[in-house]
Amino acid sequence: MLAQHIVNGLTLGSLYALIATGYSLVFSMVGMINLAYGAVLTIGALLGYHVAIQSGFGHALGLIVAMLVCGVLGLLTDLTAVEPIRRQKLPIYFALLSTYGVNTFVQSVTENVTLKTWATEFKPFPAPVESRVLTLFGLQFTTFDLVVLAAVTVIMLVIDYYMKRTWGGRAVQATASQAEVAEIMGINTRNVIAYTFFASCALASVAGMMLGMYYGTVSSSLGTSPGTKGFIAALIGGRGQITGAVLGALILGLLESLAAGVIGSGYRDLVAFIALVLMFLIKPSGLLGGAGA
Amino acid sequence: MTTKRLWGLLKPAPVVLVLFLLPLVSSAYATRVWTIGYMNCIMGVSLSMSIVVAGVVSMGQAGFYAIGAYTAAIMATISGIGFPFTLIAGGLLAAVAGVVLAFPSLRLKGMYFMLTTMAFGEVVRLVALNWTSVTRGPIGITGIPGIAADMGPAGYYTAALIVALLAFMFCEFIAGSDFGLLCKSMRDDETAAAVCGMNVPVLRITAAALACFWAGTAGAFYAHLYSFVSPQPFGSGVSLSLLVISMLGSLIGPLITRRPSFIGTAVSALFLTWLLESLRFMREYRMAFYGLIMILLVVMQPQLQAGIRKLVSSLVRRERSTYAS
Repeated sequence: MLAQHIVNGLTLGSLYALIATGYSLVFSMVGMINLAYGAVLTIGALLGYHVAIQSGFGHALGLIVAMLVCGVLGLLTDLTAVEPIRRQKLPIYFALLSTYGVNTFVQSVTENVTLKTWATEFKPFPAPVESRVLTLFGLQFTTFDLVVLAAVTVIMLVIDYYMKRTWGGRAVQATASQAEVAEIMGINTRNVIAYTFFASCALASVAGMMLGMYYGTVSSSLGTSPGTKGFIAALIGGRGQITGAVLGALILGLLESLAAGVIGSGYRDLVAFIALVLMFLIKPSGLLGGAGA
Repeated sequence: MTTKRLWGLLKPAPVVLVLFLLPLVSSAYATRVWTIGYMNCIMGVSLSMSIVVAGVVSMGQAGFYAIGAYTAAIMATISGIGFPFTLIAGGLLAAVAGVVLAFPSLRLKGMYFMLTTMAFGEVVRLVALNWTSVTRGPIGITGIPGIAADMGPAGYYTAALIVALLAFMFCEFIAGSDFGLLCKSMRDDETAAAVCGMNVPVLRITAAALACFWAGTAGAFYAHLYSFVSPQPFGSGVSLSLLVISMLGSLIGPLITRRPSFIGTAVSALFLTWLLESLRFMREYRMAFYGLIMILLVVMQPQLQAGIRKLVSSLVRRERSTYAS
């Protein structure tokens, strides 16, 4: 039974890993959490649903449209809420407040639009694979669990390859570690930051669609809770580090699944918060973070 | 000095009197909107107090609001304890939660503290949603008794006004007290304050707890006003709207009074509540509107502050010239 909870936690954790990676990418650039991410997750899932299921164009096209639109949404977030603050050299926590504003705005508009156009609060969002339960070594997997694990692994490997092996990825890393030096070396850091916002929010749409299929339904509040869990995972893992974010997300997914299975489903959300608080008490910089707060 | 101080206390008396008499002339609907405005006042002013006095910026006030509301709802429906006690209990429980939250955050600087409070607010909502044995989950708690058996909107209005006045005076008192001064010194330079022998953790935790107390009180009032509590109205949008109220308040404060005061926050709470209620098409998009104001307030902050300063100084100049002539 315990092993079954671990399997379930692994799937949830790998979904959180995508979200936490998105947070982490932006964090490494501008040193803050993009709080508009939760709303972008929702938009991604809803758009994907509209194109793939409602209009019947299939999941692939849905994913592409959702990625593009969410990426542009990320760019807009950067332009309206983050870049002005950096340009005016205001304290960076101001960007926390302004992206919170973006989140509330997008969330509220999404809620009202879905309320007006949909008769129900939830719509079923089937996965492109046939849903079957497989039994391996006495553990139960759904086919979708395997798809999620495989897809997340591939996505993370692609990101890893991009960050380490390509010019663009190295520019991102250079900007993250020493923005001024990167600027001197001829990297347009302004563009790098904008690209990062685009990429991070495009990733959010992938995560949003997968979450929709994972829950089996989409709604206008889909991204709220995973959005919070994602930044908790990113902070637990270490600030601005993708490896840390993935580690934090997997731990969080496992903890949640175990808490829900062993103690009771009412506690699953409390566990994430307790983990964050404990992490801050023991090591404020996160699991893989350096010394200091 | 004493007479001057007394005079200063009496000066707002006519305004307060007008506010008390208002339900005699306004419609039931308007009275209701004012009542909601006062609840926003209570939370906005106390949040302002914790920001201005102690530099504690909480992004999760909705969580404390919800704790207060659920405490009052559960107490009133299960044990039948009545109005003023539920208010106090809701406030106290929220304050306890504030203390618990403030402990780990002592080690955290600015942004991480804000993120922790935000996560807290969200987690409280999720717990209310999923802890069905106590909170009845998404169905919510119904049939919460009102303040008194047959009390009209005017009664609720008066009660809200009294609580709001208490909260306002309390926050003004704290800001001007020795404790407030100690907190301000801690806010400006924590290390220096600690070197001077101040107990920084205690100051910080107390300031956070005081703000949470009032947020909990407002929540308890909410439970009695609507006689229904569910997780839905305690989303993160509420925390944001309170931050907007507080920021707008500190911006327009200098236009109303020359000395540092929370009157700006109180006015901005009432103003925003009314603005969003009176614009009919805005009602559903209320939170979107708060989001937009937040972006504007943050992004344009230097320009806005400079503009207000210019406006204030031109007002002062005009005043002086009228005295001279």
